[in-house]
Amino acid sequence: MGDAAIIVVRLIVEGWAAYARTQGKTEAEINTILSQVINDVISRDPADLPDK
Amino acid sequence: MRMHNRTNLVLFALLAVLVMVSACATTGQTLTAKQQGIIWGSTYISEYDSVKDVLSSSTSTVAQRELALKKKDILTKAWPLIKDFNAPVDPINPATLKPWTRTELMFYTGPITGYAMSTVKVNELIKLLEDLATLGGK
Repeated sequence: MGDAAIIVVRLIVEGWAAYARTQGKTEAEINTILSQVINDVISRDPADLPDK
Repeated sequence: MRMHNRTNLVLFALLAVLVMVSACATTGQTLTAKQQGIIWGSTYISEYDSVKDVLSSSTSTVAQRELALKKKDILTKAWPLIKDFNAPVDPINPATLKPWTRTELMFYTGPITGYAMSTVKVNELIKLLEDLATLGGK
């Protein structure tokens, strides 16, 4: 499988995986997942990435 | 030719995501603003970790680093938008956990109680995430 095909598969799989995480969940569970995701985002400051 | 095929495949992936969202809408399974936030956040986390891996690895090629730095620029713009995200709540009754469709979220212009992203910021974020997808993988 070429690089482009791998990228496409990854995009689709990641999109579905994120979507599937919320299916069948209660509102409280979704709130917990969203809170965790946002916290994970906050902890990943792009300024902490290497410059080169 | 290779680039042409890659562009087509990336466009196909974006189309697949659009079909997924449309299918949810037509079957009554709407994406709530919270679900949308989870998808955006998960995408950001995945891309951030990928960029960090490339820039931290001594075995990364020059091309991989150049691509990772382009992604870093986009992540830098997307980060403040996503980290401030909190699902909008029903403007009539903030206690109601109203499901929002993607269309409602994008085009709602009325007052919103609690935290929310403006339509301009939502569109800006979607554009940034699409730019990330277009750049491709490692």
